[in-house]
Amino acid sequence: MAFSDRITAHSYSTHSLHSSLTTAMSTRSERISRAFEEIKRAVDGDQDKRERLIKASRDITAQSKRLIFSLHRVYKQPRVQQFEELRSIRENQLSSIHEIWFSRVAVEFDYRDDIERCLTMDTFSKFVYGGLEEYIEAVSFLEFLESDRLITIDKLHNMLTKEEDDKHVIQIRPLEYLGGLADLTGELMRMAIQLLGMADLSQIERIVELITSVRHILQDSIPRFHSHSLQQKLRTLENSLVKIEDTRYMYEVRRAEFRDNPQALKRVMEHYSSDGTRHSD
Amino acid sequence: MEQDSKRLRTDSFKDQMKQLNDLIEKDNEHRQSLKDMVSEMDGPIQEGLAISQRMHRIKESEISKEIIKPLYEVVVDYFLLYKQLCEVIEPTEYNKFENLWNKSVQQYLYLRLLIHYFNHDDLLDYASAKEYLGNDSHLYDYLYAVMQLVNELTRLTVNTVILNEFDRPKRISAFIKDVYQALSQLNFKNDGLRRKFDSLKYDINKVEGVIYDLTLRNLN
Repeated sequence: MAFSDRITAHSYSTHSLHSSLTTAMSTRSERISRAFEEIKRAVDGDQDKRERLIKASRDITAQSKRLIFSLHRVYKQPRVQQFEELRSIRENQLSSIHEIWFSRVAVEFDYRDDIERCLTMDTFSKFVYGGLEEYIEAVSFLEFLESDRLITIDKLHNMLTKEEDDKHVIQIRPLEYLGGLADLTGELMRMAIQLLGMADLSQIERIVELITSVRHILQDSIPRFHSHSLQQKLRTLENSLVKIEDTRYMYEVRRAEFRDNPQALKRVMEHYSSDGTRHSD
Repeated sequence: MEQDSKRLRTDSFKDQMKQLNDLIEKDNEHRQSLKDMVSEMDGPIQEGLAISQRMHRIKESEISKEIIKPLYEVVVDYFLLYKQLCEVIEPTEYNKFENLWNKSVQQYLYLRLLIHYFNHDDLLDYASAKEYLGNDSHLYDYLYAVMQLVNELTRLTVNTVILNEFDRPKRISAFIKDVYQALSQLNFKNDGLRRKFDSLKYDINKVEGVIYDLTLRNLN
């Protein structure tokens, strides 16, 4: 089979070289180009899908950040008001993030064939992992403020599941889950310092306890992942703990100093906490 | 009482973490066993690449015996191992672990492309390449292999001159140009494939240089 073809290739070269080359070129070149048209469609399709997912991920990130800012305003309010505001955040801001997940991310994986759906998800999910981590951070912060605990991966999966067909919008891998929890500790740190600024110590023990337990989890899991970013996050977490300790230290010193003047104590602490806890992002 | 409920919350969280860690552990084990299989697939690939290197030192008349025939055996061996690999992967999880063997598949497709080129003086199209794998997950590896073929044939152009087979460079050059033209239709994103594609223009240049040298001296 191979030989007949090779003989024709040879016989070409015995013709007048110029004409044989042009005939051979035009047919083969056309054939190859035609085959590549389909490849082009596939490549362009992949590229578009990737672009759309990256945009969705960016929007999820932006809105999650905004949600986190809103949450930082909530815990400074009186208890009763907090409840109301958290509900409103959940109904408005969180819903609009879910809208992105369901209407812009899920559709990209919307294949009837289960195998194709999984394969596409595995290939393209990485383009929304950035948004996913920020989302986990936001939702876990909300969960903490509402019910004082760390969110579980199952609960996250439930939130990102379409009701109609019971399918996850995205598979949350342990890596993104832990990354999101690690980021949460940064928000908890800011919260702790803001509360200290208001001379409110009611939640600080619980916050430190949660940050510490996230630290244990990270220390436990890091060897299993070989993930540079988790390592980095663990270092940040440890810094957060130190920042809280420093602020508490400052608080205790000042409290002893201004024992007879709570008003002055509050002023000094307000000043202190507004220095170190500005969001960098 | 307060203390108790806190402990309960932390405990259920710990249970979850234990489950999660078990999951990761299992995943890692599975990954490792796949890695082992992939490194076994390395054997035929290395052998095939060694055989393919002979093309630079032999006359065109010997290609069939020296390269095509032994390469056939190698790709068949490879395909058997590849099928075994596919059997232990859930079809839904193929792309999850794909990065473990896509380098390997690239080389396999390159060998297939080479065989097809030597047999038919033509490009093995993706539809056929897909069939040599039995799945549609390696389009980009196919493109990579096509570019690798262009790289290697560029070298071959120089070496055919060394072998004094002056009629071959023109044919090879025509093929390379056809392929390059087809590849030029594609919009690559900024990644390894794009860089590889960008580097092909030096290959085209080099081949044109060879043709120029031969034409100048009336050697073709």
